[in-house]
Amino acid sequence: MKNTICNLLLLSVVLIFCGVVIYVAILLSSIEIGITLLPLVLFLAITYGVNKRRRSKNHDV
Amino acid sequence: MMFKVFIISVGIAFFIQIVHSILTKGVKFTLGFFGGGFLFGFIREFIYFSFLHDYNAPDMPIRLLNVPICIPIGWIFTFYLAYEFVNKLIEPKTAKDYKNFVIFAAFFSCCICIPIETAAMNMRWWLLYFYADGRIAPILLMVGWFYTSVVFFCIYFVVKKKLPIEQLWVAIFLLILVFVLELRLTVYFGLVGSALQIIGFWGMLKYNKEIALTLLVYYVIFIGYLVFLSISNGFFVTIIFIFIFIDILVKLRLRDEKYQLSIKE
Repeated sequence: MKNTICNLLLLSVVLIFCGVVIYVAILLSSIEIGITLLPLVLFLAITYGVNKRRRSKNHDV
Repeated sequence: MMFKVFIISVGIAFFIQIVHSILTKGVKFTLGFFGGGFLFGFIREFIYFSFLHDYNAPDMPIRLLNVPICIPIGWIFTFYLAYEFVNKLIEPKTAKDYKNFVIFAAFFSCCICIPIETAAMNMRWWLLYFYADGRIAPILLMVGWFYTSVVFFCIYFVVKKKLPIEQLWVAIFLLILVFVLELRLTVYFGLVGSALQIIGFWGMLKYNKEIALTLLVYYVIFIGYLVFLSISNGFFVTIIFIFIFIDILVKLRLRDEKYQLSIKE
């Protein structure tokens, strides 16, 4: 339970960050600004994938 | 108005980070990490605001020694997110893992740097004196965020005894390189500047080849940007990101193979 809350807190920090950038992108009607978030999203996706795989491996062991 | 929204958002996110840190790692860690991060960010910005004058943030409230407090807080924001996500990515155990940690955290900083700097540049939240064109933040900023994260995490992990004390030399030699670049010593002092640059690079190569080679790639791409000025800055930023993700995936793959080998043995 505590772990889930902590993950949600961390996620909310990222969402606030992305929210500010997306808000600016919409305000200035600039797709380019929105696209700059892609590397961050990709990094987080890799982290999530690697973490999930490691946990399932540990679970199997 | 929009700037206030940004400041309030950063404030809320920073508060959530502190709560998260206290809940997951305790008060002692939080005081050490956030206090150390603030001090580090503040000293960095004090040097830039007092001596280098590369950028300014005239509308930012609350200044201490001419440094807007929001900027060091922004650095802690980045360092803490990098610390958390890279921890989840590699779960470091050995000194080699912590060396990789430093590079991954610096890569993460680059991923944070481009969106926020691009948004800020377009909204004129802060002004960059060395760059006026384009809609995407300049490639040089990625180098700035990269070296700042490397220096911070090198110092942090040496203090925490996760990395050997020799790794402090990486930070020192890296700072020599940055010092030469920021003060344009190669332009004003020719050979002396070049010699300092070679010493800085040689030192980094000696103590941490991976960071030195990563910086070399950044440097080559940056030179490419200066040579082919007709090609947009965004193209070179993309090239750096492609390099970053290839490097991350290769390192993760190698680490995984080593882990599998150790299990078999």
